Amino acid sequence: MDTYHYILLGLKVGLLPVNLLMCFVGVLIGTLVGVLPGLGPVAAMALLLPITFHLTPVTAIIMLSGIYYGAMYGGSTTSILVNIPGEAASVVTCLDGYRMARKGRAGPALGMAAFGSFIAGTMGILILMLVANPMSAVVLRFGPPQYFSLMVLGMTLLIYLAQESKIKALVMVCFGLILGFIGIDVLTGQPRFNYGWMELADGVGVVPLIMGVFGIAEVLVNIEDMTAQDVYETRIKGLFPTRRDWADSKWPIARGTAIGFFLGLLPGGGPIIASFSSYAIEKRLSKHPEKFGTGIIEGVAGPESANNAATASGYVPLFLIGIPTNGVMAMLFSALLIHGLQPGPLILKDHPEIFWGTVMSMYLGNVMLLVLNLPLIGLWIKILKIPYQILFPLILSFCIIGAYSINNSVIDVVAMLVFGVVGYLMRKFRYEGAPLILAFVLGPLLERAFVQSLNMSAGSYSIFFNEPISAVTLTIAFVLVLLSALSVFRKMAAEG
Amino acid sequence: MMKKYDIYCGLFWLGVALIVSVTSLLKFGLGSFGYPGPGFFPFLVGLLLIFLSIGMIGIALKEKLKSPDFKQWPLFHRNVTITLLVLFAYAFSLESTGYILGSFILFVYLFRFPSGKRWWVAVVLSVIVVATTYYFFGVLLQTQFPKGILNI
Repeated sequence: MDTYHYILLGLKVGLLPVNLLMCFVGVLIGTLVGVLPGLGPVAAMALLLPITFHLTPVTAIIMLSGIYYGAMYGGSTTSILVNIPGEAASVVTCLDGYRMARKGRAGPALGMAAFGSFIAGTMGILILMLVANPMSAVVLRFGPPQYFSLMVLGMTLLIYLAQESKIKALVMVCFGLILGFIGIDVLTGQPRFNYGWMELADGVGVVPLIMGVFGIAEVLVNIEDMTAQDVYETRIKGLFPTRRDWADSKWPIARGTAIGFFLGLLPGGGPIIASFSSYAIEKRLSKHPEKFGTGIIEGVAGPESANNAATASGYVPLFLIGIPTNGVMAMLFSALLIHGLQPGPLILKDHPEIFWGTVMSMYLGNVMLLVLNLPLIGLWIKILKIPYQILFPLILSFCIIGAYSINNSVIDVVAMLVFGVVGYLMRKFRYEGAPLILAFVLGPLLERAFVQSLNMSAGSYSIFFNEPISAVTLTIAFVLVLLSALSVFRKMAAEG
Repeated sequence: MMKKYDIYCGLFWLGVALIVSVTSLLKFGLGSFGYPGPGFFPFLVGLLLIFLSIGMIGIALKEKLKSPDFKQWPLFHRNVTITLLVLFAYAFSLESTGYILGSFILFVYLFRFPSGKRWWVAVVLSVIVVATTYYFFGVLLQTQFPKGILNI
């Protein structure tokens, strides 16, 4: 089948009533999660994962994906109206979005965020459709050494791009790998690190881990300081940006789309880095950089486009290579595994309906989001006013039920709470969650690829350098490690 | 404060790394360099973590003392500590109390204390939350909640 037939197949799957409904449910929940500070898309996806056990794999992935890109749309609303990002990728939207709202231009800011997101999201999906088939043909030739090297590069990039300390990011990678070792060794069948606890024989569950580190920890941090946030009281009028707004935004949207798509492909990249990079580039290219941060529409259009384009491109490494690039993709990766599907190039060959159905539903979901976000903005503002005192017990109840319903076991609830404490302490000591989750998910695959590669080469490590892709990838990873080490030493020298 | 905590963190990670390395070495076996055993990869990760934790402690010792971070201190806020204790008690007693009774008590606590709602508001909100979640997850989605002493 060629791309055209795959698109038709995807449309057929995406337009099934159950998939349309679940896509709508996903984007609705995603927008809600994006609007409400305190529960990011990773935790929301982990929460709803047990519900997807009742669905077919493609419907489940469609719904979970809807939460992801829905949260990217919704996140801008809180950034613009409350100056608090609903999720991390919308942090930079606060800078100009909130200032625009203060100047009485909340409508155009919200409108441009939604339109920019729609255009970039749609363009991202179009590029994704075009590259999928040719790229899967290349990736099919990958063997264990290439996979091992790519995963090493992924983790190295994550450390290199860490927003907090690089050493702490590397510690989190080690911690994630160690958690991943717990359970039965897939290669020898030997139990490892369970210390006689039968509950740990199957290893640590990804859902309790993610819900604990992201969901419970967030609630605990917020319980410390439950001061109410003021929603900017203004009558929002004129959601459609003016002709001038469009003229100012067209290039930031185009550049944001390109930057976002590219950065979304990189392990460790994703929407957060994309939105910050877009803002920095727009400021640098602008004829009036001093106006950035005072409430100009370019500061909203670029980053909002970039984070949505990055959302779409993150599916390339996930589906085509089988490597998640960020925490959300690690969650989707786990969801695919739970539903009995191994992400990677074979998924396109063996289950084309999963990939193409998800991609086409994303297209439909983007249209739904435009409809949800603009006419229903009043509803989202009302939801924003729900006090956190009411909200956090509800979040906790969803976390508890979500963890319990994975295996109908209290052990998962206890595990989630333990990881909640771990996540809370990580926030206090400024450790990032993404490297931990990614290393946890990739760890067993990394180990397997490493051992399989050595088996293939009769124990020779030269296999990692004889294969060109593997050699180049490992060299890049090595350079990034050196650069990270240099930056740590420079920082130490500067501090005396 | 950060300096002090980074030293504690470094020591904690050093402990974890030593446990992982020693267990891998003695219990699982490293195999050979070309044919790794089940302990080889964990041992390497443990070794890396040993270097990192020593590095962390070294950096923290060299660092100048920073001013306390209000978000960091106290390490466990009173609300957080009590909520965590209640949550763990809830989780451990869930099988015996059952979802409905256990969750009702949990939500009354959450709405009354950390949220600061009046008693009657806390009770009403808890009834609503428990009834709604039980109907949606237990009845519609067929989640097998523990029945507990109420047997429902």
